[in-house]
Amino acid sequence: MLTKKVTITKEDLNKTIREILIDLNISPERVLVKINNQFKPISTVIKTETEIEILVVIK
Amino acid sequence: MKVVCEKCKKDAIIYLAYGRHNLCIDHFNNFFESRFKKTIRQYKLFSQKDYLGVATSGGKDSMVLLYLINKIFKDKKIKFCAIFVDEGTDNYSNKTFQVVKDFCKKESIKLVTSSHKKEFQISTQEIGEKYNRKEGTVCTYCGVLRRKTLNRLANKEKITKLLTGHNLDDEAQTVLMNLLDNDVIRFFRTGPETGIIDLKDTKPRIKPFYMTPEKEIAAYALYNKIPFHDCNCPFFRTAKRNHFRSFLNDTEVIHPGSKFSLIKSFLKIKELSNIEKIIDNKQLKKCKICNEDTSQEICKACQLIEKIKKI
Repeated sequence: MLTKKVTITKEDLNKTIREILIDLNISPERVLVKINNQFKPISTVIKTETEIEILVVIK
Repeated sequence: MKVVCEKCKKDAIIYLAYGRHNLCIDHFNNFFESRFKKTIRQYKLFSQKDYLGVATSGGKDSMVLLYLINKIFKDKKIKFCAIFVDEGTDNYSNKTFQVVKDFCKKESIKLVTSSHKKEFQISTQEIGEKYNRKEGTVCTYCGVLRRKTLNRLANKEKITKLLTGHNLDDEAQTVLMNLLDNDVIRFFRTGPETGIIDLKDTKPRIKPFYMTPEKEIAAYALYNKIPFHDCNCPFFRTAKRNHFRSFLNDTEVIHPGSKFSLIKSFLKIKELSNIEKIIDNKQLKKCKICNEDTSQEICKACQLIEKIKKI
């Protein structure tokens, strides 16, 4: 399974993971997301600078 | 930052945009399994009298299917087994088979196997080499031969229904592809249960994940640590289907629920149309070579095998 790590910087704060993925041109339909090794819903609003792990589950 | 489950306030792990649901792992599992059971009930996919053969490739869809059939129906006196077809692809088939074999051994599930080599005296690897890996060709052969092998194994084992891991995404892509190909017979042939006519020797193929999005199957497999093989076959080429996959996924992002709507519309059209009239010119015959069901003089599998012999 393809995984990709993306660091969330200040510009992306207060956005949902879904919005961040769309900005990155990654379809939210194709991926699951982990933060600190925990699965998170893409409706999560990012409040702090962090790293998200994107698992591509649909090729 | 924290999103909680709408049912119990535990940490949510998934957001289902089409229903705006945030769910924790337990409620997602409940939701996922309930829909699986509802699909079986709603489309009357099988009954207690059936002997089920779960077509298992080792990929996420078929492994989750086998896991759920085992989990839900093991104690309900429904007889089932796993079926694996070894297509004979170097450095791939052995790995997928290992996943299936290990799971069946762990869960004490009967595993029935055969191979393209055994059934047709040629493996997918050999077909690929003959065609010099020409795009699409190998998949056409492999798909036709796999369906034929599954059916032969089902007849041999006296299986009454074949279960496949086809999901909502696969079906939505297929409906769109057939529609844009103007292939009306194929268009109507799809559905939760494949086929229009009742055939004695061709077992119905049923799809309990007909209403389940592919992403949720992957999520269920990962959350529940269900083993599956995640690499593409070396001959994997489906440029056309990929186009429809991307189109539907892009549409789903902008308009959540589109895949469900497409499938529901298709089912309504199928119900309203006079299918028998559309297919009445398709008389059922027996293949002159293998004596199995076909709509032509020679079945597709035998046609392909004859063709490859000439190369």
